[in-house]
Amino acid sequence: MQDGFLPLQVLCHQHQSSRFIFIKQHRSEAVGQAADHCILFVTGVPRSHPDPQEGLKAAFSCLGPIESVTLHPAKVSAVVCIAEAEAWTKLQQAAAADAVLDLSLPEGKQNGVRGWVEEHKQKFVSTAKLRQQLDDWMADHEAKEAAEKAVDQSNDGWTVVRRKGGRKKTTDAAGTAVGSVAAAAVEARMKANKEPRVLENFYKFQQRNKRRSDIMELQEQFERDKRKISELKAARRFKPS
Amino acid sequence: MQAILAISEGARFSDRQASELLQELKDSSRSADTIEAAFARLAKALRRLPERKITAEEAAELVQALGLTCQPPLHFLPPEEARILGGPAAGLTTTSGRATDVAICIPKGSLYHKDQLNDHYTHRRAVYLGVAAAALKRHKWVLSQEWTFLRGTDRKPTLVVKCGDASTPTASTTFNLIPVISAESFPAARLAPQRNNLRPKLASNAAPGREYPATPHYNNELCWDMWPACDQAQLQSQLQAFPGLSDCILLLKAWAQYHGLCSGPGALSGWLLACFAGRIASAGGLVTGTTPLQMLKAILLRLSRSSTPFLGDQSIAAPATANASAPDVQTFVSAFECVFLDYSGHVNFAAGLSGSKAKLAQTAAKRTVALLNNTVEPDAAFDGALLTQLPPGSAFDCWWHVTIEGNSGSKEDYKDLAVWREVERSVQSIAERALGARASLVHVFPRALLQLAALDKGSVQPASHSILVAAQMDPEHAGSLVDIGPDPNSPQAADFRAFWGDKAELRRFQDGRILEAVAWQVSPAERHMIPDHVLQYALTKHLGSADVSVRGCAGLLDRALATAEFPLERQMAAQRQLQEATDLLAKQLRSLPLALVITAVQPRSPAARRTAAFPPEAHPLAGAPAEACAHVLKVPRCLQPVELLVQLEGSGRWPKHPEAYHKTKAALGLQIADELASGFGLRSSATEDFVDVFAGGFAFRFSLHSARDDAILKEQQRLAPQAAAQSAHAVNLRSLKHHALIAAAVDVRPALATTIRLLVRWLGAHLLSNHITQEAAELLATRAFFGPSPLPVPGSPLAGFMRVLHLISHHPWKLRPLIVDPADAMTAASVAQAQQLFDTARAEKRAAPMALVTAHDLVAEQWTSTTQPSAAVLRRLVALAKSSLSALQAHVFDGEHSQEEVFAKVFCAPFMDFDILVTLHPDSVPGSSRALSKAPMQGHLSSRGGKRDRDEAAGANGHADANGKAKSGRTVLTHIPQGVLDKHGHAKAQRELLTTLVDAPWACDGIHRR
Repeated sequence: MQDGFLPLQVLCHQHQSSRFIFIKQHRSEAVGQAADHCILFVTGVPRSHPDPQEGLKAAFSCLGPIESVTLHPAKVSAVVCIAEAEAWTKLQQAAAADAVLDLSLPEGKQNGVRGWVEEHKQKFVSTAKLRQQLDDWMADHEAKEAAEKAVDQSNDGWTVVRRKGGRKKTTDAAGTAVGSVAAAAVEARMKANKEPRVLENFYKFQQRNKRRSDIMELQEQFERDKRKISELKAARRFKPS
Repeated sequence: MQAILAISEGARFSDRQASELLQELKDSSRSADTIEAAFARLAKALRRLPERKITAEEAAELVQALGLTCQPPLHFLPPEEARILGGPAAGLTTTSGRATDVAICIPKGSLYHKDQLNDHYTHRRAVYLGVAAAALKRHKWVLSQEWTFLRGTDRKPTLVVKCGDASTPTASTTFNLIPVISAESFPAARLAPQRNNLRPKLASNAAPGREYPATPHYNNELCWDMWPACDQAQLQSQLQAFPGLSDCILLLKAWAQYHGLCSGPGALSGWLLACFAGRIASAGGLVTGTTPLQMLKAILLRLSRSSTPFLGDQSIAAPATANASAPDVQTFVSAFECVFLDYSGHVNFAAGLSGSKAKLAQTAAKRTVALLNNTVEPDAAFDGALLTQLPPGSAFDCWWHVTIEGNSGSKEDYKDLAVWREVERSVQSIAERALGARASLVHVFPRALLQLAALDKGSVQPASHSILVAAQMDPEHAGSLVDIGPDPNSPQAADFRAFWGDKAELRRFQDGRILEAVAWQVSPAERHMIPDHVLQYALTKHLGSADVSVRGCAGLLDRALATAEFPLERQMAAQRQLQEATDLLAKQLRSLPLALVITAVQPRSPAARRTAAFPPEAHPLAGAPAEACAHVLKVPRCLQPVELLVQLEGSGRWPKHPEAYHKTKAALGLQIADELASGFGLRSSATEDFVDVFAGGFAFRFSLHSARDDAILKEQQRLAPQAAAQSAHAVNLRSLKHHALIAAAVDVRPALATTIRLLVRWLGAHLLSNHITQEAAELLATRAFFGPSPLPVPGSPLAGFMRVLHLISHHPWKLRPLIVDPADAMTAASVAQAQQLFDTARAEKRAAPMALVTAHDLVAEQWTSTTQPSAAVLRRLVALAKSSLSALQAHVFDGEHSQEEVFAKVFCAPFMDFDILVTLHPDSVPGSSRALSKAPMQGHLSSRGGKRDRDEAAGANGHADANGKAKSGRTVLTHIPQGVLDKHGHAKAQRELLTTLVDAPWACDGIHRR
């Protein structure tokens, strides 16, 4: 026992192994502690426990009535408040006697490596089951779509027809390439898409603006370079070894 | 025009970087005034040395360490003059840490007639310096003295004197005293390279009328003392004519130093480089007004275009202004491997430079020019060219330490070169001949001589017992099983047989030719060791009766890739089987009678691109043929699936609703699974996202893809970019692109796949595999093979691994993302955009600490993130890479430590650095037997804090075996026990096989949450 933590062995039925949880009594002088209560910090709660709050409640109920169990968001530590002043003493006695606490898990749930293996196996369902799931989903989906269509049609029996977009077909149903693009047509299209040439330095003010922007660009580049050089110097890249 | 603009933009910034570098180089140099003041005091002391007569016995005792056999007496006269030599004398800045060369001129009165013969001058020179050293030692301002050897030549001892005040030793100045003589001391004609000046002592060898071999190196060293500063005036005039030349030479010296070209004997000296730059300037190779960096580029370009054996070309290396009495240039060409004459025409400055070293410098210059002209990544290129210190042997792929016992050589006759230099030259020529087409360049590193505190004790010998041979390998031929020789009837056949001896044999080749050949019988997994066997055989055969041992490094890291249960041979077989199984499955899939035709089956798994740490092994329960898994003793329970992407033909009948489309695809997957089972008897299981198939002994996981996926992804990207990036199709596409990138790179560079495997193993050994993903490791290694670098592409996995470690430890992660572009798909604009995105993210504190940019991921978010790896993990990674690299370099270059020690240093995690160790039970971790770092036993760690004590005391993993029930309660993931197999049969056991659960991210998951 170190730093006031009391190791207590807990048993997990399903995989017949035990582990330790660590318990410490809360002693706060500032707040003061009610004489008829015992507040315990518990850490080392099995991470994969499906309902650690209930599990802890059940496990510590032998010490007295449980007022509250507050779990840390990490779900591996908790604060247990017991309405029994002697709970800590009882716990110490139990630990001294090598008692094993029963931290029961629901049936069928595994912990530790076996839990991971089970979790992994759960990903694979049988082919028939998966097919059934897919068929069910598709049936639902189709029913939903049919219902939507029916709602549409119920509006005076009119169906809104929308234009179908899509690219020009280049293969037929058998997968054979059909149609072709003439080189001249492509060139003509490219010519048509070519941006019109704009003279940027036709007017004097354009030339002036361009000069100004070039200088500003150069100044910015210079500042960037200076910053880079100073960073390289700070990183001692220029230091001869 | 755009390219020119890009060059000028990049060049502008490079020039700024160059000027910053120059500033740093100048800051670190000492001021000329300090040197002048110290030199004046030294010169005064030298002038006041008293005249003395040194007897033969006294002289012999003074220079005992040189082991010279003749002991002529000496009439010691104070030096005629003392002057500074080399760069500082010509007005160049001296770099820090270098001693200033000082010439002390031995008066003619101290020399005798015909002293040029039989090392008489050499001995008298050493004795003269010995007397001067003894006299200088008495001065208080002489802090220390040490004897070194100029250019690694045992005939040229020099005295290194540290001058200064004892109270301020940091402000001291170091001088290297070099005795020289006047140009008239000996007849110049008798010192031409083709002349002999070392006659045999023994009567049997000294037969009258016998033609003695030329002594070019001996003669050259004498000439060097007669004309020590011939080029000084010319260099000074060039420095005045070209204001930036002095800075350029400083950059040139820094370049040579960073590339390991100017360290040790037989190196490019600073003076040689300065003269080379001066000659190019005087030959009109430089333009006034250009920046030092531009000048450097011009000089390196000339160096890279050298015409052997001249450094540069003949007009540079042997100028026409030479003295008329000087020997013919051709005599130098026939006597030396490399030629660069001084202005007098008598001295070859490049006499000690070997041909391989010159080629190395030439290649380095060429690559540096290419780097400085790089417009895509100018910053990284400049970094590689002028800011990165490379270890001397890093340009090579294979290294061998050759130790020769019992061949100390005979000292009965005078020799042009020292015994050890002759041995080094023999090793060089034998290694070049033996390795032949396997190596593109073989280089023997000349050994430095031991520094001596005094010449009256000890002996002159190389600092290292072993000779370092290094080679740049040709990946195509390096592992050839047969060395093909000439036709048995050709004149070269006798020579071939003489070289290879009993190993040579006649072989009939597939094309019907019968040729001389040498075959090397090794297993396929040991082909990378063939160069070691070749060298061992050839050196043992040709180095006389000497006991030769060759220690190669090719197999140094093999242990990281092979285990006793899964050796390299079986891994190669497994890789082959996997390829066959993949091809067969793809064929079977394409032949299925489906509503939509399968157009392509594309693998996207590390195992398929040969970069997985271990290839998957054929599994007896996954349909492997019996002979493929005959060696399997324990049937593994977990299989790593090989991921495939099955491309379906386009169709307009797919549902428009994304979820309906997904479900339809799942139904099609189910149909494929059924068809595979009914048609080919393959067991498969399907989920909504993928289908797992066991085929040919391997597990394959494929997901379906059609053109509709792209349309859905585009729509998702428009509506919710964040969610779209995480969608299954985006992930599939990403991994497919990554696979294509890496697979292509692996095909082009043969050593890359093994390098990646080594890196993955190294990351795993240092417990970093959950921080650096497999893909990130692949990108890191790919960059080392394809990025702009001053070094050639690594030709061996060891060289590649060291290059990756160098990259990790030297890349400025805080300043730049790492651009990985093996396909040259990125332009300067895209690199600049990636840099801008990185800068923006950094300013907003959301940049990934390790940013890996590819052509299809400019944001660097696919394989790394702000938390994976975190900044702290990256710092640790860099530190580990540095320490591993230094351990490897110490072993490979300096021959330190045994292979086991090096392996332990590189591949064992320093557990002392951790506060908490969670020890997992080996049975619960698939592949636990392959772990390189074994967790230390409890109590082996010294405590650093209470936290560790607490965890160790309480059982760090929080689990405890409960009263003997633990064993039965434990989940065994490593293998299926034989008892279970016997009891339930293979069919039932097959259902217990687990795919994907091979890695153990789940083990870390819980800890991360805490």
